[in-house]
Amino acid sequence: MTNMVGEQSSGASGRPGAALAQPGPDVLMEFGELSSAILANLQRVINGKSEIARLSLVVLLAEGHLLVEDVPGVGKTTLAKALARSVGCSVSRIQFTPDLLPSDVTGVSIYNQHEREFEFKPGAVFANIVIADEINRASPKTQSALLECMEERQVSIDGQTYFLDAPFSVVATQNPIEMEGTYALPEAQRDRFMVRVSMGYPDAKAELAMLHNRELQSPLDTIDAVVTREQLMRMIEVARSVFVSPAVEQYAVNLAQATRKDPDIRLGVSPRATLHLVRAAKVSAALDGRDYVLPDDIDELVIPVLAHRVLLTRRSLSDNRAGGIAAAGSGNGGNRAVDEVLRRIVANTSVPLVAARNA
Amino acid sequence: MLFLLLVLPLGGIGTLLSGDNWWWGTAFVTGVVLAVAALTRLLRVPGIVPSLAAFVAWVVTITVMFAPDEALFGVLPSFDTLRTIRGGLADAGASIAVQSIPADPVTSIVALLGLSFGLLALLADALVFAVRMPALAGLVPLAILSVPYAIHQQVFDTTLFAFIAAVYLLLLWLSSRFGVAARLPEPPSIRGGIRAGRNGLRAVLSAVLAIALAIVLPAVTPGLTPESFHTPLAAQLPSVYSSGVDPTIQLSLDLRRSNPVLSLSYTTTATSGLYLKLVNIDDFTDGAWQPEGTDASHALAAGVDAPDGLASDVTTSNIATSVQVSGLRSDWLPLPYPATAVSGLTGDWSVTPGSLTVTSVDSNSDGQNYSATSLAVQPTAAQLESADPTVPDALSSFVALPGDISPFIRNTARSVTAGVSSNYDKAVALQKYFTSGAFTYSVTAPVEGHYDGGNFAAVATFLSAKSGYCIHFASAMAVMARTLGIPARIAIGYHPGNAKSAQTDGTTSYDVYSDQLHAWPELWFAGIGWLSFEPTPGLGLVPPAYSLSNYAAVSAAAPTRDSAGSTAAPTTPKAKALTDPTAGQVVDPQVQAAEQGRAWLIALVVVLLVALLAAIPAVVRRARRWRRLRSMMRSESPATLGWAEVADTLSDYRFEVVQGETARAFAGRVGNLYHMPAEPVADLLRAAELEQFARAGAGTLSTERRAELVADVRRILTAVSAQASTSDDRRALLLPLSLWARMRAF
Repeated sequence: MTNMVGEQSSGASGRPGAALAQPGPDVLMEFGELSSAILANLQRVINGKSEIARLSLVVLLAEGHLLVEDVPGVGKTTLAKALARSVGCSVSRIQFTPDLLPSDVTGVSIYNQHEREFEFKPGAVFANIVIADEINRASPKTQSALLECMEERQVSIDGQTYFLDAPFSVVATQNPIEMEGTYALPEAQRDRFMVRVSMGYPDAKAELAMLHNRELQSPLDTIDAVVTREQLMRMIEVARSVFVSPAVEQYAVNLAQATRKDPDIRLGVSPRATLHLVRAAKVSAALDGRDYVLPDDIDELVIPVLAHRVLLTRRSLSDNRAGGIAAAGSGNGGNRAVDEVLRRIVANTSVPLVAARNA
Repeated sequence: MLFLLLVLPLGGIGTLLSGDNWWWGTAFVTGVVLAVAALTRLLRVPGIVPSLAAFVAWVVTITVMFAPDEALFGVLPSFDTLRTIRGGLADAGASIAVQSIPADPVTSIVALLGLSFGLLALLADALVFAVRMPALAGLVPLAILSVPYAIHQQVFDTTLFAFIAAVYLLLLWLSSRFGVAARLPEPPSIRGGIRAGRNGLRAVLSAVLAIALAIVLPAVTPGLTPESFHTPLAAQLPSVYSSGVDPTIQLSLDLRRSNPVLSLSYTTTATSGLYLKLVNIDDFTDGAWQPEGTDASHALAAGVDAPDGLASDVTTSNIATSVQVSGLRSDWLPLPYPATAVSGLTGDWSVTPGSLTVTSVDSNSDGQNYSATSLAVQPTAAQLESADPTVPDALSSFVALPGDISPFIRNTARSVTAGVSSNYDKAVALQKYFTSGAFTYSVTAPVEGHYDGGNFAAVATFLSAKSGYCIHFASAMAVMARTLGIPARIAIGYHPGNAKSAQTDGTTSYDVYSDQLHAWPELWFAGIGWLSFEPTPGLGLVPPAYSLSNYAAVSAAAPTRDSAGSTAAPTTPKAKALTDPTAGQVVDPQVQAAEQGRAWLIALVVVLLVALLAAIPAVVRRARRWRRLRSMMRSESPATLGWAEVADTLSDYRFEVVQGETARAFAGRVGNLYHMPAEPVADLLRAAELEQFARAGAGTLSTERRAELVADVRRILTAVSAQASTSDDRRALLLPLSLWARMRAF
């Protein structure tokens, strides 16, 4: 593939404020080509859900984690798999069950009889993309183990610390209605996911197309990696170098502040949410071929990035007739209510308007 | 708009005041208050701040205009300022009470007007913007209009009323428009614009209908004539509003007025001009001059009483006088003294014995046309000399003085009359004392010296300052006469005025102007009665023959009544010639023409002002566009400026950026409604976003690129204007909402 001029920094961990070179137009162009290829792959698998495909790519390139939440059978796992296969990275998949142990996730030290010493057997988390299926079925202890890896990007076992390879991204799926014997993710842990998406049912046309597609083979089998790991790393680098003007930063902060003051919201978003919002907006801008973030990028991402982090007051929930399901942080009724509140906040928060300056 | 609403009714007040300087002053205060309120609103400060700012502006303006000497740092009001302004208000009250209509706009009245109109402007501004009840603002011009209406009764200017009503309805319409527009989340579509245009036409039609009805209805309905509304009201008004010569002696302001109006004309058979008396002032006991009581008056129909104390051996001759009152609205009738018969009056009039003044409670002097017969009293010097100095009991009140009268007055009177014995000689000596050159006539000196008015302190000060006008001379002479035991009173009225023409039948016509209002003393002599004296110098007035010190010789030489008349006759016209050589005939049309010209000028100025005001938004808007497009060629953010212009223009066409909307979202939304030219919009928007949100220092734009952006803007503007209807175009030009949007967002 074409040469990339972007800075080749090896570390994948976030370094906000680091001076990054301005990506040239050719870099942006390559970024665009590669991202279109990935998106095309995803589109093939999940028919007609371009928005979801784009969001999952945003999360991948922003080095975040994706929470896919929906009823069974709408393609959560397929999406996660398609994403993982499209990039030439190591992929592992954990099916979470109530008896899954933390060591199954992180790895375990086993005594090697021949070598006469403890040997570390890496767990499923040691991959570039980890698919955590039905994360809410595992015990809280196991969930915590994964979530710690997500945040720290390292595993500590027996006093030994093992770093995870970059890029590292978790795509977790969660089933909101099968509540028996599940442990729904508490707010604090949902906060670690950059974006939550709901697949939603496909429309009739897409569903029909799906029937034809899968007659012979799963479309997943046709997916090849279109991006190498190195290319992916450079794309992440390019996305990180996207410029965020002070006005836009201020706008993001204002939005976050507004969620904390809103009378309908019991729990506003965390500072981490603001960070995630801006990072995601950078990727989104890069996907649009820009090397600067617009307020529009922020607006577009407010609901995917913030919706799973706020808790509404009981009053506004009952006003939205969403009841107890939403109180558990899931359920479409509750989600709709949250979306509504967030939309209102976006509408009421002044955008650093082009027309309002220098006028 | 509010400015017009407030300033137009001033035209109504214009009939109450003469000149036009006051108009500018008042309009200035109103304008400043409203402008400050509007400007602060433009700055988008919230809530009550614009009203407060306007209040501060009002205070400062009033201070600077009317009491700058006492202000701190020239602008801040101090306690002294308050005192000065309070004093000014009291002055204004006095002036209003004293002056006739149209009154002379002295500083204090202008200050009062400025003060009150500033307040009204504050009120109207608060009603329209802060409280958002523009309908109530109509009360303000109504209140202003009703003032001249209540005073004048018949000054009802239909044109003016129509103007004010039109402005008021326009204000209502605008406020409802913008009030509703402010609450609309989505700007109206093009179809909505057309509908609104039709509504506008309907609004104009109904406004015209409403105004026409308001004007025509009272005229065609018999029970609703202005008279039936206002006569009872006028009757209830206190005498202050009788709007004529108030019988207090503070008539100085009428004397100082710059453009006198014709008060009355008379034609008389007398050989010289007549003093026409309105009222007597005889009560000195309170320390200030009080008009006579009218308790003893009886109906004029019962005949006029015989003059007090006139014995039959004194030579008299009858004088017939016909009077046409044109510009004097007074409860008292101007009459020569002593009148023996009055006829031709309308209304109920009663006569007061003694002073022989004629007064009415249900009518007034204005417009009256009547004939009076009076006596020319021609006593001989011997009769005067031999008059009995004892004061009859009936006249004791005419020598009454307050106990605390300054000894200075007494001493001066005594020293002036030293060496003469009879009351008559003393009176002549007193008059000579005032007229022999030691005293000067001045209408301003008493005011500057703070001894204006007629109380005793003022008399004492006047005697040492030796400068004043008629009332000071009259009151000083009357007081001094009383200290000498001579019954004395003051007459208020008109001096003879300007001789106009001599008729072939031996009568002479005179014009009397408002500044010929005069005061003179009347002294009583036993057997002769009340005689007028003329102590006021400097007006070219000739004292009566009997009051001159050479009267004894003259009357001795020719003791016939013909010679007495002929003595005065040659001198009087000469005096008139001095004061007014051209006489009234020429002056009158000139004055009228000048007044008419000024009225037209004011009307023209108002129309021009309205046109200018209406053009202001368009001019400001165009200037803004021009400035933006020009600075696009050198600004650091040309595209931002260009986009601002596009957004403003769209909001002129009622597509407004709503809160929380990005430029891109706005462009998309507008694009759904209007067919925007996609390419320049995208180009401009992208350039603007680059300037706003991309890394700084992307390098300065080339002139070509700037010109390209300007061309983008022009293409968009042309496209928008081409798609809009003609009425939308016109509205966008004349009422650019982008200017109002800032005002509304307070």
